[in-house]
Amino acid sequence: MSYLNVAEVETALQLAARPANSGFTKLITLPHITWEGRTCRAIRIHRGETAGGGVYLLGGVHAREWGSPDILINFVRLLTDAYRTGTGINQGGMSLGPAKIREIVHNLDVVVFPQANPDGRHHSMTIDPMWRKNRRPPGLGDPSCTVGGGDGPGVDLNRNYDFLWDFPTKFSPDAPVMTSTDPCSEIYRGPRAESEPETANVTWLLDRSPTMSYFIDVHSFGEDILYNWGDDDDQTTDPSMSFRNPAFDGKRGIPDSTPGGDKEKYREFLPGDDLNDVVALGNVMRDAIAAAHGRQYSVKGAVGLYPTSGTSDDYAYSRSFVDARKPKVRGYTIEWGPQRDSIPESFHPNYSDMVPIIEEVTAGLFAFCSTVAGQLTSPQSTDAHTAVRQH
Amino acid sequence: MAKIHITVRGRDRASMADLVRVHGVRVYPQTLKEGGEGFQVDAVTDDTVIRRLVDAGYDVDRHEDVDEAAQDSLRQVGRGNRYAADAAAAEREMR
Repeated sequence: MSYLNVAEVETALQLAARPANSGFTKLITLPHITWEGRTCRAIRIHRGETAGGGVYLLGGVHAREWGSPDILINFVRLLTDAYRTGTGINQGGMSLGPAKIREIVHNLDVVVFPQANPDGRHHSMTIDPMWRKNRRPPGLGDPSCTVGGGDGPGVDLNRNYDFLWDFPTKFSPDAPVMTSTDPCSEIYRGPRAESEPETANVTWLLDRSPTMSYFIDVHSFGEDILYNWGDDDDQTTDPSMSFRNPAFDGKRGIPDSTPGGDKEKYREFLPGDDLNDVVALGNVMRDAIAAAHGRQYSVKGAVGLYPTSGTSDDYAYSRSFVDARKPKVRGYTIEWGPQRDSIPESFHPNYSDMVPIIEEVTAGLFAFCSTVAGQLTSPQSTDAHTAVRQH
Repeated sequence: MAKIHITVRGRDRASMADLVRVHGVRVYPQTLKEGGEGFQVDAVTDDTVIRRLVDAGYDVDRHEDVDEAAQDSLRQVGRGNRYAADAAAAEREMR
């Protein structure tokens, strides 16, 4: 048993969309070719004309987090096989019957893009296992980077989205923001927002998924389920205090728990209903993961001591605030697997240790999709109370 | 220069933030621990930065050479294409 290589992820995806599954799957060829000339593909799983809602699962963004595409291919294979054969699914201690599988495929538009950064994955799996970024070559005038051990030119795709990307302007100069303008840095944001073909593929799919309501980006490690926002603490009462308001430029990125507090009192607006929803559905994933093999993931807001900018989940959620015609897409990042003694082993555990992680995260994703699909059949609030967080 | 996995301990939360905003260290945010046992976070960096952190008053524990340790992982990557036969069968099915 071993991790899927780049070619295997692509073939597995094409296999899931084979003729026997053509009534409910569609293979999507993404328009932007990677720096090393690879074509990326995603799969859409849905039966019927229009879906009531959608879940977008993304993986393989950070090259060295080898297990993410394996998790999503496992999810796709189980879902398509179960639907085609009219059977259910068992993953660890979690099971879904045939009726629940039908509910997911009939009610939801499930879009899975399992290998967003194939160039980086190939480099990580053949030359430099600690490689994180894409394979953008150095540009004219860029510094010469040392190479090896994860170092070298390239862009951190999860800092390249158009959400507070211009961090030197948008954040407080005192904020310890986890992004960089240095092309040699492991967390380099890129020369401009959405400059990279891999990032553009992710947003292209979002643009063409009008029923999408949730976005889950699968990463490692830490056993966390993180919801919006990553730039600062959240608050539910003041819509004007948001990433869109230039009056708060230079004031973001200092969480209240910072010693001395946040003098500017900036907190990102998160509507109370959305907060309820992301926490409730995060807890659904957490409980399904625990039922699989007993691991306890934490559900929490993405911001910690070290805020972020330009991340996929915040970008996905921000879109409907920027343009009300776009669907509201609530965002999560899952950080699978525990920290191990060695950092490389945390990112790519021995495959025998990866198998239960694949099962538990797959279980969490199925529980998530099943709950969302069930709500579309019989709409009900996940929580009777609307959360309120004052700033 | 070798990249080393380290655990850095500081006196307070501000010193943990300074690792990024002053020293430019690539920390792993998910490893941050704070509270009764003090403040610590894991990071990957080189000997020059480690010396600078020690001079600035941080306690630094050295762990593995990350690049060396990571090479072992390459044995865990699949060879060939295990789905090729199934894909070929699906192709035949289509004809």
